[in-house]
Amino acid sequence: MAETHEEVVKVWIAPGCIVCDACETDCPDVFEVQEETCIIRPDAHSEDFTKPLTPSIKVAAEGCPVDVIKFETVQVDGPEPWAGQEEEAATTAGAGLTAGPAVTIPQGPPDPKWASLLTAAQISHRGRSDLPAERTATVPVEAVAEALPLNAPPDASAAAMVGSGYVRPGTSVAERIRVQGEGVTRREVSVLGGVSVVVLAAWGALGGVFATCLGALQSFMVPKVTKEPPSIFRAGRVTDYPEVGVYMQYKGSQGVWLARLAEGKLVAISTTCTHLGCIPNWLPGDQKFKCPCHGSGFDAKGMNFEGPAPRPLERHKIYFSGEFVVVDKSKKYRQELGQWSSPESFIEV
Amino acid sequence: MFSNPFLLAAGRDPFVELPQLEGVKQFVNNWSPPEFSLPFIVLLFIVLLLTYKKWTKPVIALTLLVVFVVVYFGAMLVDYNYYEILKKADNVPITIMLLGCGIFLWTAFRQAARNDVRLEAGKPLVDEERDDKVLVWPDLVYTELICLVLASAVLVIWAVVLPAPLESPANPAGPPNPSKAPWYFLGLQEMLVYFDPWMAGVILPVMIITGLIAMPYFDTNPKGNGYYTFRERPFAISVWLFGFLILWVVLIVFGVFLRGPNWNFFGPFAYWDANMQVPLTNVMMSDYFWNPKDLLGFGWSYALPKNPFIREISGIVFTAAWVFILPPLLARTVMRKMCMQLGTFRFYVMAFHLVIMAMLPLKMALRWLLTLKYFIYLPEYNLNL
Repeated sequence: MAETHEEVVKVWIAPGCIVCDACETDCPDVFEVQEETCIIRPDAHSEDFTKPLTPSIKVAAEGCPVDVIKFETVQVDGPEPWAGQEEEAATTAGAGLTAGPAVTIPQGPPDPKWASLLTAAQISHRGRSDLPAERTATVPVEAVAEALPLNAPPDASAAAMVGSGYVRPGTSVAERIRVQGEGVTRREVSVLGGVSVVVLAAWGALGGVFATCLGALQSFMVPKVTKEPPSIFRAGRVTDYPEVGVYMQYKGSQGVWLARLAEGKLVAISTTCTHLGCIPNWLPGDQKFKCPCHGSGFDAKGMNFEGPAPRPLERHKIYFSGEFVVVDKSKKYRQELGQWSSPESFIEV
Repeated sequence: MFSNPFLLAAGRDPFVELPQLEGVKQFVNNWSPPEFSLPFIVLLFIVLLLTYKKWTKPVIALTLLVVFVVVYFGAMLVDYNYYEILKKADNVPITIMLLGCGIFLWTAFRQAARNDVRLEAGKPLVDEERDDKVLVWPDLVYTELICLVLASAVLVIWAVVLPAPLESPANPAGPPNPSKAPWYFLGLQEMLVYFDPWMAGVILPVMIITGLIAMPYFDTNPKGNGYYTFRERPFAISVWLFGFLILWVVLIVFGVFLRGPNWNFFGPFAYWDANMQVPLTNVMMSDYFWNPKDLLGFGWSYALPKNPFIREISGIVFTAAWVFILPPLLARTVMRKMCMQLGTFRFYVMAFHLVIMAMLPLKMALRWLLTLKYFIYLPEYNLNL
């Protein structure tokens, strides 16, 4: 008797995989564990690829805890080419031979049981014109799935269905899976490329809008208006204020009265009423500032002596710069805080 | 001898020289400052409340209205200053407001008087006897349509005949003298004459608003609900009308008609003299407290203490007593019954608003009588009252 041995020509995974990594550990060339399932690598759909890997495929099928790894073998003449190379694996594979499933590929006309089942089942054809029009389901799809010989290789089931009119003959399942796998990749790449261009453009546009808004905000922060006049101004010479009295020449432009007081001081009085911020008028006949809004009255020194004003008028910093009198409006001196005695708040004249 | 009012509008010189009226004008001018006129107005207010069953009779009310209109508008013919005030386009709403207040006051008190007479006699109210149900269509809708047309016509004619005054551009260095708020805020501006801006500009307006909001909650009297009456709720109506008519409407009239340059007070027939000299010197309560000898001519005389809180101790104690001791005092004496009716919390909310409101006439009277400026004067802390 001539020596023969088995070689795996086809391997597939029946439903029920628990994604346990065992097969990939045993035979990483054929099996690839993915996130939710385990697949046969596209290369392993060819007979030439699986034949040399027969021992490790058998080990993997043995090691599968849920026994979903199925394979098909042919008898080949001659000794095992891998004998001696992987003795241990061969021994194990030999022990599992009897358990190896042997399914005959249905040839010729379709199995009538299948054909009737599939005719009765409602199958979604998703608008494909080459499939029969809608039909009434008398048997649920699940019944068909149950009736399928799970142990049969995918292309065997497909072959069974070819004659029923639901599956177009042609490409083998293995081929289809391979093409599909590559197609998915290609589609993913192209979709990713298209989507990423659109997304990038959208984010770019949004960024542009934000950048424009920020720019506009910037011009809010730095408004293009005339700045306030500087708070320091030169108020002429002391000789401009020869007599005791209130001088009005800087009231309109600077909001300051220069007042020469009887006690020998020249002071700069703010024109803002301390009640509600109106601008009082100097009444020379009464020798007082009188506010037109609520009738507050201040004497020539700025003391509030009538009406509702709660505080005396404020004074500004005043000093000599050479022979010129300079007023600094950024500094204020309040009588009620005892600041009028500060030497910066007046000039001795 | 009468002048044609239309000649007034045409700018002719229509004024009638009546030398015998000069004495009357002088009298009115002299008595119009609020320190003299306001007590009389309050007196008139009290008389109106007490005699509401008499003056609301149609004959008397109509006579009063005719007299008011004749005097109010007739005076325009005999005095130029008064004519200048009244013809100003800004001041026309005040005339409308005065007539409106009078008419609404009469409407309310007329019906209150009729109801009160019936209640005293044990008869049903006017509304209960009379079936005054009307249909929405056509009665109400027609009325609304007519009102809409009339109001639109009046507004259009008003806008055409009396255009809004266009004044020179705002100049911060030369504000108008006097500077007046919109007419409906002039009561507020008048309050600001007597108080610190924080008090009259912030606290009192907020108290007015919170008082108006709280009023329905502390008024638990179910009477007068849906019908006019005065007898059944004299306190509520009197206090409300005092606050509205005296402390708001009258102050608006003063502010619009009688406050002239430098916010001085001018009589209705007086010339607005920007150079008029009004001697005014205001003193603080602390001055009276530490130094009555100089100010009043009797008592003691101390120098003002350095510490501002000790200096102002009199005003602080007075204010605390006014706000925190007066309400419990009222609750135990004159308002005892009301406190029991309202419950403690409602009563104190009401009493708090009441004493704050009463602070305004109090402060005004003290300003006029004692030239008092502030109860508490702490400019060091921007705290004045």
